[in-house]
Amino acid sequence: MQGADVSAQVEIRDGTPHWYLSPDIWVVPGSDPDGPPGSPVAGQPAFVWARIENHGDQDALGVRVDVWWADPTFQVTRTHAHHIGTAFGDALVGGGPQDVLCLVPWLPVVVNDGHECLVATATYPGGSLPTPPPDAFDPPTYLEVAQKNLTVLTMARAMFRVLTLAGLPRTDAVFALTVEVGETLDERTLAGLGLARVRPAKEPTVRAGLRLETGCPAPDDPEAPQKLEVRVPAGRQRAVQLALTGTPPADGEYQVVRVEQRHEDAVLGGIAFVVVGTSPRRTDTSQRTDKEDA
Amino acid sequence: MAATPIDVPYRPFAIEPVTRIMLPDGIFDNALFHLRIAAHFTNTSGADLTNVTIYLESVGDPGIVPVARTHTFPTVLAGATVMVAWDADFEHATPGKRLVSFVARADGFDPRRIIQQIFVSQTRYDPVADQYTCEVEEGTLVVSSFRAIGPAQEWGPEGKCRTPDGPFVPTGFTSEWHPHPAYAGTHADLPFSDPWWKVLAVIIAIIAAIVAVVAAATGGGTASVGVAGTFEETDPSVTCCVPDPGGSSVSATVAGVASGIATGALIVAASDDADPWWRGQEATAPAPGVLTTGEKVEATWKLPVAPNAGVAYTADVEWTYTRTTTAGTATHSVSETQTNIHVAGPVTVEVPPTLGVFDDLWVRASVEQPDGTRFTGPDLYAFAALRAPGGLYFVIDLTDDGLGFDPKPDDGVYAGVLRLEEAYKILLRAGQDPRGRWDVFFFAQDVDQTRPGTKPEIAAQEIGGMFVASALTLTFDPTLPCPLQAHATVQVV
Repeated sequence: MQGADVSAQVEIRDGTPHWYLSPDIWVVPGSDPDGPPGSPVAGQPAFVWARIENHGDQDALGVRVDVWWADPTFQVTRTHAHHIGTAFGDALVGGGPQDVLCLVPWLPVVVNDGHECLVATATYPGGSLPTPPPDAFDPPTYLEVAQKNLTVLTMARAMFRVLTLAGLPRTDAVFALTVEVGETLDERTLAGLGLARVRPAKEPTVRAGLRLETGCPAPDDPEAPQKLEVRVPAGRQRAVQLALTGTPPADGEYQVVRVEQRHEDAVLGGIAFVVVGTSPRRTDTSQRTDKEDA
Repeated sequence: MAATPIDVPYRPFAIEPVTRIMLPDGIFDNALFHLRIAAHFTNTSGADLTNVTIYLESVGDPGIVPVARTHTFPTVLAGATVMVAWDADFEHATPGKRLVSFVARADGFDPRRIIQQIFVSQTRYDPVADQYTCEVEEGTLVVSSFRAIGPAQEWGPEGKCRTPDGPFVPTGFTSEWHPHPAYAGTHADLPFSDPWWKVLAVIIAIIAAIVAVVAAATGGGTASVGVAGTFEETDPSVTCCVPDPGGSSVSATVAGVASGIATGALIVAASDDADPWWRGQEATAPAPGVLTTGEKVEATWKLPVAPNAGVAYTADVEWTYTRTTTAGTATHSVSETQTNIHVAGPVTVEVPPTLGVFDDLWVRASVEQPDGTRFTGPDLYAFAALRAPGGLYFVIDLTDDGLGFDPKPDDGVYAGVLRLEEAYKILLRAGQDPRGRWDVFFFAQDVDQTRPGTKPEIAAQEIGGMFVASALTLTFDPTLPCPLQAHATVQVV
C-alpha cells in the first residue's frame, strides 16, 4: 500500500509531440530477444520491449507490464487489441529508466504485413489506472500507458495501406482525418525501428492522401486529398486507404507520413509510417520486404 | 556502468511447493498447477556485491503466470551462488522449451538481464484407457502399464492405515513414444533436445506418486493437480516409516522425498549413459527413406535391495525396444544389470544442541562425493525438514552461499535457519509446544549442470533431481526399525 505522503509514479513515455508515437516501446525481430531493435516481420516471431521510469518518491517493485498489439488503427481499445504477454520490472526512485522485456513471442499477422500498433501498460499499487481499466487505452490520460503506431514502410512505387477507423461506442460520429508528410524523428526513435544513419529526405518525393475507395493507386492517379471527413456509425468500423504515390525516398533518406484522427478538435489517435526506399540502412539483421500493392 | 556481474549458470528447475522436492531433471509439468521456478545465481566477479536485487522479469509462455517478487541480498560474496525461487501457476502452460528472464542489480552496476530456458511437459491420465501420457514438443510418451512395489501397511498416520501417498517403487513399464512428426534416420529428436526419453517416464511416475500427497495437503479436488492415477502393485511392500506415536501425520515433504527416491529406480534401471530408446534406435537403424512412426519400450527390473539416496544400488533389467516404421517393425532386447551412479559419501549435519524458544534453529550440512570431496554451491538443491516436538514439520532451504549461518560460500557446507520466534506462533495455533526435542532431517538432490548449447546426446547423460542424501531409508524388510532417521536433534527449552 502507498503511504499518505509518498507514492510511486511510473511512466511509459508518450511520443512528443504526437503521443501515439511512444519512444518507450520497441520491437526486436527474430528469435533472439536480446537482438537489435528492428521492424516486425509478418509471420516471424518478434519480442516487444517497453521502458518504465519512476518519477515518484517510492520504489515500485514488481511493476506489471502488459503489451498488446492491434490492427493498424487510430484509437486502440482493449476490446479490439490482442494481449501479447506480461513482464515485470522494478522501477526505483532515482534509478533511471528500466527496460522490460516481454518474452512471449509476438507473431505479427500476415494480413497486416507487420504494420501493427503496439500498446504497453504498467500496473502497480497506487497507479492511476482504474480497476477494471477503461476500454480505451487512452495514453494521454494515463502516465503508465503508451502507444506506438509507428512502423517502417519500404516503398518501391505507388502503394497503399488500409487503416481501420473505429466509431464511438454509442453515437454516430464524423471524424476528421489529416495527413502530414515530412516530419523528422530523433535518433533514438529511428534506432528503435532498426534504422541507422538515415536522414530526412532533402526533397519530398512521397505524396500521401486518403481515400475511401478500394483499389491500388496508379502513379498517375489524381492526388488523393490530405484531409477527409468520414462518418462512422456507432460501434462500427470503416476502412480508410492511405495512398502513397510519387517516388520513394533516395537511398539513406526517409520521409514520415503521419495520419491523425480528430473528433470535435480532440486528437483520438494517429498512425505514422517511416517511408524508406528499397535499400534502407538498417541495424537489424532481419530485413523485411514490404509487398508492393501496386 | 558495467552490468551486474551475476549469472545463472544452469537451467532453472522446478520445485513442487507442497513436498518441496525438485521434479525429475528440474522439468516443469502442468499436471502440477503450482510450481516454483528456482535458479542459482552466481556472483561471477572477484568482489563482493552489495544491495543485490533479483527479480523474475518474464516467461515466454502466457500460460505460465509467475508471482512478482524481488529477492534482496545485502551482500552476495565474491564467487558465491545464491538460490532464489518464484511461485508460478502452470495450469495453462504449453509443453515445450520456454525462455525465462531474470534481472539482477547491485550497487555500482547497471541491471543485468539473464535469459535461460525451462522445460515444460504435460502429463495426463486417461482412466478409461488406464494410461498416462506425457507430451512435449518432440512427441508424446504413452505409458500403459506401470508396475510398482507399493507401500506397506505400516506407512501412514499413526502407523495404522494405508494411505495413497506412496512411495511406489517402479519395477517396470510399457510405453510407446509417438514422435512429432514421424522421422527418418536412426535417432528421434530428444525431448527438449536434452534428457533421455526415460525422464518423461520418470516424470509420469513421480506425478502419479505425489498427486495424492499434493491433493491431500491442498484440500483435494483438482485445484492443484490435473491428473490422478495408480500403479499396478507387485510384492513385496516398501516399509518406509512408522511415525512417532506423537506424530500428527506423515509430512508431505517426507512422503514426497520417499516418492522421489523410489522413482529414482526407473532412472537407474534405464541407465544414464544411454536409455533403452537411444540404444534401441541404434540397434534398429531403418533404411534410408523409411519413416519411424512409433517406438515401444517394455521394461521390467528386479531390485535386489531397495533403492536409496546416494547408494549404488543395482537393478536387474530386461527391456525390449520395438521400432515401428513405414516398412515394418524391428526389435532389440537387452538383459543387464544397471547401477545407480548418483552416489554420495557420508552426510554430516550440525545443529546447536540446545536452544531457547525464541532462538534461531540453524542447520549446517555437507555431503561428500565418492571421491571424498564435497558437493558445493549449485551442485545441490538441499533442504531440511524440522519436526517439532508435537509432530508439526517445518521445511527450510539450505544453501552454500556464505550468508547467514553459512560460514563460507562454496565450501560444501549448506546452511539454513528456522526462526523459532516465528515458528512459535504457528505451533501455538496448532496447539503445540515448541519446547522439547526437535528432529532434523536433511535431504539433497543433485542439479543438472548441463551448460546451454551442449550437444543433445551429451546433455542427455546428465540428469538432475536425483536424491543424493536423505534421512529416509526405503527397505523391503518389514523387520527393520523405522527407517526415517533424524540426522540430528535439538533440545528447545
